[in-house]
Amino acid sequence: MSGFDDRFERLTRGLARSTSRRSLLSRFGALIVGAAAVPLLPVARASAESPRVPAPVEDVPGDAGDPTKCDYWRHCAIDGFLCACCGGSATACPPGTEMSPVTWIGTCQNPADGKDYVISYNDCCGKGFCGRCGCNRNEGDRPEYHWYRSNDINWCAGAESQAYHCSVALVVGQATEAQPER
Amino acid sequence: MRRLLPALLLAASAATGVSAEVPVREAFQLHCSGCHGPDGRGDGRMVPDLQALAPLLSVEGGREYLVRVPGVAQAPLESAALARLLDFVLTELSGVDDHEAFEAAEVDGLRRRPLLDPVRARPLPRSTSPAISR
Repeated sequence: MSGFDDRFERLTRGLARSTSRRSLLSRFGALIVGAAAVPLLPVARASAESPRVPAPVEDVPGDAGDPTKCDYWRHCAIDGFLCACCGGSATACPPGTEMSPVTWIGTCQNPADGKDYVISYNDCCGKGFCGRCGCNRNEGDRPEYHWYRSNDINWCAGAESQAYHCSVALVVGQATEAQPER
Repeated sequence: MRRLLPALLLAASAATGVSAEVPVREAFQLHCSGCHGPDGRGDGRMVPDLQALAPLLSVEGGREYLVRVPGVAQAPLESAALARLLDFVLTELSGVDDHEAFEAAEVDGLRRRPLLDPVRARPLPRSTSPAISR
């Protein structure tokens, strides 16, 4: 039994001598433990769980462009911070925020096919202002008395937390004509 | 065919004298779904469930209330299109089988009489279920 102990002691002492404390081995160990903890982190699951948040249309023709830019076609009526610059994307909220189920809906024209698409502007809520990629385009925006065509409203009113963080632009369908009336 | 179809539809609408109208599901998406959700279920808190409107039609003043309530009466739609949208919500979402379709003139008349106090004018107490649990 003591032979086993000796051998094991030699092995560990040898290992300690031949590797530094910052070696690959220790980093690899941290990675293994860390990877197991990733599923426990809080991520935005509102869109996955709730039918209250619209399902985005995936196959939009020629949907090229940079969602971190204000002039990206889907952002034609946005007023806020682009979630693509805040740890999320054009369609997903950043981790730790909730997508507001109450939103405003308009249309934007896709330059790739010249067609209008129905866009759902959902706010991501639960953290303070993102502060990056502020974008204020307001095409088709209406005054607050026409509340469901107004982007000046804090749509986080429908979420658990009313703290506004950023906005996403979901394509939810094709539009027959530009809305609201231009 | 994809290019031909809009031309055909345009010709058909010109022949019948009906102006081209946004399909009713698209109208629902644009004018209702922002608050009531893509399936019309509301949020269980402040936004009413459009799949549960059947009881409203069976009480006096219920049909009128549906048109006069601010979200409907002030929708930026012509009365004919609004009538189709209301029919869609009642038959497709709330499953009312014996719904008598709205006429444009009926909708037009009702939306000109706004509800000055919509909460007090409710023909039925607002449903408290389904409550969203916290």
